[in-house]
Amino acid sequence: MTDGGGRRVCICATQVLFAWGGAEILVECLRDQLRLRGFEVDVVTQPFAWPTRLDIPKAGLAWRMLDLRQVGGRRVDLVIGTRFPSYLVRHPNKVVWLIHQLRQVYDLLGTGYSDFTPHDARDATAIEMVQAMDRRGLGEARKVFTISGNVAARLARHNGIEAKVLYPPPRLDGRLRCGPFGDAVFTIGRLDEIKRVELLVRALSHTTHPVRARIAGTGPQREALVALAAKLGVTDRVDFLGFVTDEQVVEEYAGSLAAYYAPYDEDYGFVTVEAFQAGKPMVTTADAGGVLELVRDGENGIVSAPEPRAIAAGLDRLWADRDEARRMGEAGRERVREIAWDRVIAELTA
Amino acid sequence: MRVAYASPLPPQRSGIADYSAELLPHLARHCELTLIVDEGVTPLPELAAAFAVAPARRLPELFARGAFDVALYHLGNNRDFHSGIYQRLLAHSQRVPAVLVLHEYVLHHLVRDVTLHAGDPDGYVEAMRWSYGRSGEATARRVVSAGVPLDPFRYPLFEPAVDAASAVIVHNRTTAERVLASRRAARVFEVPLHLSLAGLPTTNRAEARRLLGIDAADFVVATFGFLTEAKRLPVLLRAFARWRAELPRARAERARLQLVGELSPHYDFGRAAPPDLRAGVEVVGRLPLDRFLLHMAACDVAVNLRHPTAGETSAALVRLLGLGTPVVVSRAGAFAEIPDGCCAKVDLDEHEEELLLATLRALAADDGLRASMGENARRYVGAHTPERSAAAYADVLRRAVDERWRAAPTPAPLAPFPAHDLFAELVRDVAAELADAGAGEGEATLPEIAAALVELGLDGAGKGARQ
Repeated sequence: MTDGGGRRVCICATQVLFAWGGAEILVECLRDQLRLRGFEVDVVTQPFAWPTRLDIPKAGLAWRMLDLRQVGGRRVDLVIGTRFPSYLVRHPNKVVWLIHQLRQVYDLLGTGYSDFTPHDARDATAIEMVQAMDRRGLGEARKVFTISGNVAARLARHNGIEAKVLYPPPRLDGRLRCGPFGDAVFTIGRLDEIKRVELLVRALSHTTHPVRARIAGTGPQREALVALAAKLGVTDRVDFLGFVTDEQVVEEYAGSLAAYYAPYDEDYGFVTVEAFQAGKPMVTTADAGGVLELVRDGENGIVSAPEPRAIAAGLDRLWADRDEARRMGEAGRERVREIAWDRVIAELTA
Repeated sequence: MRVAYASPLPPQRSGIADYSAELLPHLARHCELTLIVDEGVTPLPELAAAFAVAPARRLPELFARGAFDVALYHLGNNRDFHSGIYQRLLAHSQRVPAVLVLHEYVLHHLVRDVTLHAGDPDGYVEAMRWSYGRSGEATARRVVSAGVPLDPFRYPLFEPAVDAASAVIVHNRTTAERVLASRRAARVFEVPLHLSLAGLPTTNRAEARRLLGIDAADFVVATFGFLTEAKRLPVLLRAFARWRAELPRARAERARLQLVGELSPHYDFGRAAPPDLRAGVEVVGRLPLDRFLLHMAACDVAVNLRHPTAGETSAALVRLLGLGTPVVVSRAGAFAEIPDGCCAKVDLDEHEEELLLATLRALAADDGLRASMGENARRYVGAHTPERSAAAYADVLRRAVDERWRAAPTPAPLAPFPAHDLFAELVRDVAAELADAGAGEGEATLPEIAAALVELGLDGAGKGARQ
């Protein structure tokens, strides 16, 4: 285990106001794990919202103007950048653990998830600005790590920057356990369109077995999902759990049949690691991005086309053969054994 | 050499009008003058008889006909007299060489009056952007949108006029240096404010006092001219009161302070001069010129404090010097340029009042000092005659014609921004935030921010789209 010896570390985090998700959890865990190892740590945040294009370079500039070389007359030994634009901070010893870039100007460009139009002069300029800032902010870092192979591949593809993958352990690391294989698929996360929980609800209407879904989390899609379940006549098979405590999460994983997680081109996805640590198989789709770095179809989960019927077939298969589900869950647990804080912190602070 | 001469003229009540009236007969010996007058202005009959007069509206036609070889424009800060001249300078500067006489360098009020207050906020923002770049533009936008006041001395706005002119005549080094600080390439010529000693009363002090009914035994301190905040009346009142309190009773009763000149309607005299400081103080108010000059001749010591200054040379001061009246001035702007020995100077610092008090004491106690200071001043000003001014003007005008002087081209960074330029918008926005936070031009963070913008590559982004 690395010994921090009182070294001072600033974790630079982009703050999305009134939102709480994987990135925030990751930063908190990193802070706690560093403290546990004798580092003096603080999290530096600046809000990032961009109602206009202009707000993007302004946010970049704000991070750049921040001087973290020393605080209170004492040197800061290391800064760790995370999301755009936090890694634009200036420091002689900067490493980046990239959660994600501003995806709307890269891989999401041209999809329904980005409203940038490259033919528009202002948009084109904004895109170039983000690229230039990334070149500088990431290019000058002593080392760049990413939270997944997917994020690293995007970085190589769009910016020509090589990065090493450093999978983050989930928040419930060490607490997850395996229980009986019940009749419900569990999923957790912010109920956003891009997370595609809708595919799961639709799939239920196509299963031959009475597979249930237990959905934890809140978000803008919730109403629509409730309405969809009613429309498809599966309301009695879907439980919307809303906000859940850590204990509930542990219980839900433990008693589930499998976990479902299939966002579009996800960066990483803690759900996968959590499900595997709980010894449960994963149900996902072939376009789920970072999730697929860990999930192998038929080995530790089921990877299907992003269509309700295909997903339904996978759910039926697990329902019908709980032994297979158990075997897959075991394989998953093996797959994530290496994902540990000791390794993460050794790499980041080396 | 045919000269279009644009200036306020008597009977317009302006110091610059009086100045021109004095200059014109002498300048006429060097060139052919046509007086360009605003609508509704009729010069005094003696001027109208001696010179060709053309209404300003005919100027485009006269220029088109090639009626002039060069144009001379007098500018001060007063919109009543200079709005039209300013606008004509900007409109016609390309026709023939334009020589600008800048009587003071703070033209902000004038420019604001002909733009913002005339219903043209964009014109005001544009003038500020033209003169001070993006930070000026951001500041102007704040003025326009939120009415946040700015300090006109920091944004003097002489630049549009200087940029339109082929050459600039100023009356002192302070103004010359200020113009050159902003506009290195400007042709600037210093022609000191002249004084016609012939126009001064020949009465001596005793005679002037007799005419004004001032007792020969009184000791009179006086201040002259339009009374505004900048004349630092509270300092004078306190120093005078303290000096008076030191005197034996009999002399104290004969010590007087006269305030000669019109009170500015924007000036809170009651606040500046509380009742306990008014003993021996006499508000004389506005007077006709002959009476005004008699007061100048009659007083023992004149005090002409000034801060801030707009680079103006005070006509009242020049007259006092010409009359040989000992004067105390602020060591500021053009006042500081008057040679030592011709006047006493008081620094603008925390000792201002103390120094003024000590100066009053010394001058009051020493008749010989007052006399020699007055004599020095008379000699100094005597050298600056209207004849010499006219010769210097004619020399500049002649060279402008012979050498075909044109206004220097405007530097490239001041070109307007395209509306879709995100980087320009970013810089404007950041500049506005900085202006809002009170950052001035000398702020150390500015180069840092500029460096960060470049370092992040933001300035290069969208170049393709911008072209």
